[in-house]
Amino acid sequence: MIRSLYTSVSGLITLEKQQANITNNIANANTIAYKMDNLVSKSFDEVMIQNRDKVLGGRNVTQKLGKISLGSAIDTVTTSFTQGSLKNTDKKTDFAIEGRGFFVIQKGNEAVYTRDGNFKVASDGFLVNTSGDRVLGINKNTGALEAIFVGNNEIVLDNDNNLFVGNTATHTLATADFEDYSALEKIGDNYYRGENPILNADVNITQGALETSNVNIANEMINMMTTMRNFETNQKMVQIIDETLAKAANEIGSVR
Amino acid sequence: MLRTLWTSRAAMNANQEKMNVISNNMVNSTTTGYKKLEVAFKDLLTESLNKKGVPLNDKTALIGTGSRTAGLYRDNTQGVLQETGINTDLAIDGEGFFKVILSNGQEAYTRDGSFKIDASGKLVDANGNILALDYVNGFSSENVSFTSSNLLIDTSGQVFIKDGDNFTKVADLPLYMAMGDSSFISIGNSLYYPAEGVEVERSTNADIYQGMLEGSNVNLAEEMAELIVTQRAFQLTSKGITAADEMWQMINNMRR
Repeated sequence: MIRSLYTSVSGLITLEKQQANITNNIANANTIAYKMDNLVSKSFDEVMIQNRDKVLGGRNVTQKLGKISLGSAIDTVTTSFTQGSLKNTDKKTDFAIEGRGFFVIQKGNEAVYTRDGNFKVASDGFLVNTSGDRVLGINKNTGALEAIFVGNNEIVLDNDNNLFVGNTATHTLATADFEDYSALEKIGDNYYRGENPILNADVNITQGALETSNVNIANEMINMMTTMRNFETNQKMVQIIDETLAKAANEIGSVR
Repeated sequence: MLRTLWTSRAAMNANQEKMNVISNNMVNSTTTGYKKLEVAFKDLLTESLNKKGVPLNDKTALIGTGSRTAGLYRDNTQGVLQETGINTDLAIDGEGFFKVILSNGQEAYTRDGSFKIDASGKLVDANGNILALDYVNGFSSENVSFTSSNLLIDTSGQVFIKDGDNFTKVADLPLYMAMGDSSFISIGNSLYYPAEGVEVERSTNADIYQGMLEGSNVNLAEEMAELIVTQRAFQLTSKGITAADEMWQMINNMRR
């Protein structure tokens, strides 16, 4: 009886986190290039149930009843890297990635990765994103990974990701890809942190467009309702178990 | 439950802020020389799920905590030029700002070219701020008096005084610009100050048209669409609060 109480509660906790995750997806339904998270739940590892009710030759012996799972737990949170649809903006400083890959941004003294290509020109003339962090490119002459100076010039990106500032191709827009996207960590501000980037992978960039969020709000709404009703069922179970316990403790065991 | 609440709250705030920006753009859809503001969303820092009491398999699992708006940027695309036939109306086609001297002696910049002539024959804006001119050929603000009929300004910004069929060049009308998309800060009344540390320089790639005004670059249809999207997103995120509230209520009512 007590065991089933804990089983229901584990469900309540998992569902609550599930709801938090769904809300976060909905909150980012209009975030540029946001990739939705999925919270995967799983049942507890099964345990063997046994009792000693069986009497054999005047002695109680162990009897195996079978396996049971005692609740649900969060397995992991995975990010779904499906493509978001592209929105045309006709701005020279907006970029969108189609297919795999990330832009490389200098944040503090670390390189972070993002698919948010909503770039601007800062007052000092460098290409930055909307957080004010510099966008990195590979210098055509020196091959160095560095910030891209734009100044008052127009920028044009060709099919090989060469960035023409004014009329000369000064940089290649730095891009990165990863073998295993599941190792990437979201760190806020549309950034990802990752190990062992494959720099200058074959990444398909479109100028004058932005990638929208890949959250499907209809799905999320349905998930939200399902989670809510699941939660309701679980708390009903807690009530039922509570009532049963009350019966066992107060009615069956009562001495009148 | 709390996480769901705060996540929804963050998203509602972000959508509210975007709504403010959109309504400000719509209000200024007929303001001379207005440049529309833009705002984009970013996701917030992630939080570890690994907390006491949470049944969790993957200890590195993270959950997002909502969204926020990134910095405001002005869209400096050209507005439509409208013919007014008024001699003192000036429009800039290209990059640049007029410089005006405020009554307290400070310099400010504006794209609003609806100038008037004040009692002393100077070109002033609607608030009486004096348009900065570079006088030449021994002329100065003291010995030049404009009237609405003797003023002539050509596309390259040369200012002439017309006397019968004779034109005398008295001044150059300089235009100013600075690098980057966020170099000028709006101070109201269509005026801008340069941001701190920004170097303002002369603009060369712009034409001045006399007898015309530059319209606002706000596209009402676009803003209306954005407004609908933002309003619906606001509504959607409020559902997260409702869900959290109902779930919390269930918890509270579990034991009567």
